[in-house]
Amino acid sequence: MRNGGDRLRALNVPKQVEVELDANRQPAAVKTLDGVRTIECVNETWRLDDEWWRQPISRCYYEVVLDKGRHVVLFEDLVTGEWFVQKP
Amino acid sequence: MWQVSPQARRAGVKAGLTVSQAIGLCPTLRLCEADPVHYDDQFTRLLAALRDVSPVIEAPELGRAFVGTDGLERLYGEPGKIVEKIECVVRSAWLPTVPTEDSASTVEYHAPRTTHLFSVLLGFGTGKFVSWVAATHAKPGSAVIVPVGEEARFLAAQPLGVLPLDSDTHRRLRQLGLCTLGALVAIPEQAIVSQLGGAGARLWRLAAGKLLEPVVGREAPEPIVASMTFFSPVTDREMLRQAVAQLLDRALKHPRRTGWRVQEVRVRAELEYSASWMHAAVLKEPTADRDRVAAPLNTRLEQSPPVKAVERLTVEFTAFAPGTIEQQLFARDANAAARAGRRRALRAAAQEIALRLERPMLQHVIELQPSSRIPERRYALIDYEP
Repeated sequence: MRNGGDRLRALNVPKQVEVELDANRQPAAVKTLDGVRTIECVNETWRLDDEWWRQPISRCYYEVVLDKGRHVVLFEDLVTGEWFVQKP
Repeated sequence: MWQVSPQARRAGVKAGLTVSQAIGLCPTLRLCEADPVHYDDQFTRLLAALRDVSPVIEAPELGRAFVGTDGLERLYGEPGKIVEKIECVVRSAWLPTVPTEDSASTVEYHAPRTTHLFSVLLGFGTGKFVSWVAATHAKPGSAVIVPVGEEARFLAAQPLGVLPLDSDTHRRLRQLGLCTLGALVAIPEQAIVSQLGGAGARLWRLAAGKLLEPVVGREAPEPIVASMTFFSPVTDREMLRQAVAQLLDRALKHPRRTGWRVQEVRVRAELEYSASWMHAAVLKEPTADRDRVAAPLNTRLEQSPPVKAVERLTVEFTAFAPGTIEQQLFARDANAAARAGRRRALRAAAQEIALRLERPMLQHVIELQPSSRIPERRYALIDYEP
């Protein structure tokens, strides 16, 4: 890493979003800048558990397809229960 | 290997392979020695002839030229007539020239390298992409014209390969079951963007016939003139040669000459007692090298010098050729020099920004933990320091 005087800014920081869940607690709709978008299907899910020795990170990721075909990746922070959108 | 026929390509031969590799793939390969100077010369003549039709000419690469035809319908009529006119000037551009004995000019004679004229494929359509795809379907003497409003229908049946795709993107689209531009356009644009990013938007719009890139012409610069007046009339030929060399240096450094090579050069002398002397030379190979421009002028000075003392000497560049790569086989050195130049320019720009704004405004991406499972830990932005 460069010297400490340089400013370091994180990239791909997760952004909090509002997600509606269906009866099976799967994401069914997400509120974006374009309004509420229905989730057509969930392509893939995976779980991330890390840094248990520090500040535990526990996330459940969903790669979803919205109406009109856009792909986004959402994750639920299992520690706080909040939802975020992030590029994988 | 420089260029490869479709039959050889099917056998696996590609541009860039060595001859031995190519023969290994295709033992019956027929090799023709490349003649880049001749191809460049013919292409330059073609571009000069096309300027008789339209002043808006764009030549993105050797062998391909776009002609802007907006407004030409008032001169020539419907698209079919415009295409006829272009075919006519192309035919006249490649007829053999006749040598002349005119003492004021020198014209080089080129015997045709082949027994027939080069073939030209003509496509006419709205925008560069549509016209280029149309040209790929044309046959010599039979242009393909895509009527206005029919672009989408024409493009729908075209294969994906006509798009400017890298092999990786092409493979990904094929894996998605997309083989034609029509199949690509049937998918919503947003879906293509989410798969391919920003570049996907351009590809989708090209495929749909919605991105109509206009022809951007480059005007040939006005003649560049450099003159010198002597304190006392000069007869010494060595001194005249040195004066010509200095004037050529000055003219070659002229800002308007940037991006162009000299094709025609003229030297004029005002002699004492109101006489004059002139010699014009058409260079066999357009160039920006001073010695090669000076060579025909020095020869003339030696063989047929001015009969009186020279009071004022003028050198003029009267015709130019685009600064295309003269020998594509040796383009690597030019590219390396261009990259070094861009780095220097970037460094200077970053320093200027930091001085003016008193804080760094440029950042670049660095890797922190590229293999981290947590996406926001992989990369970061940091101030850019040249």
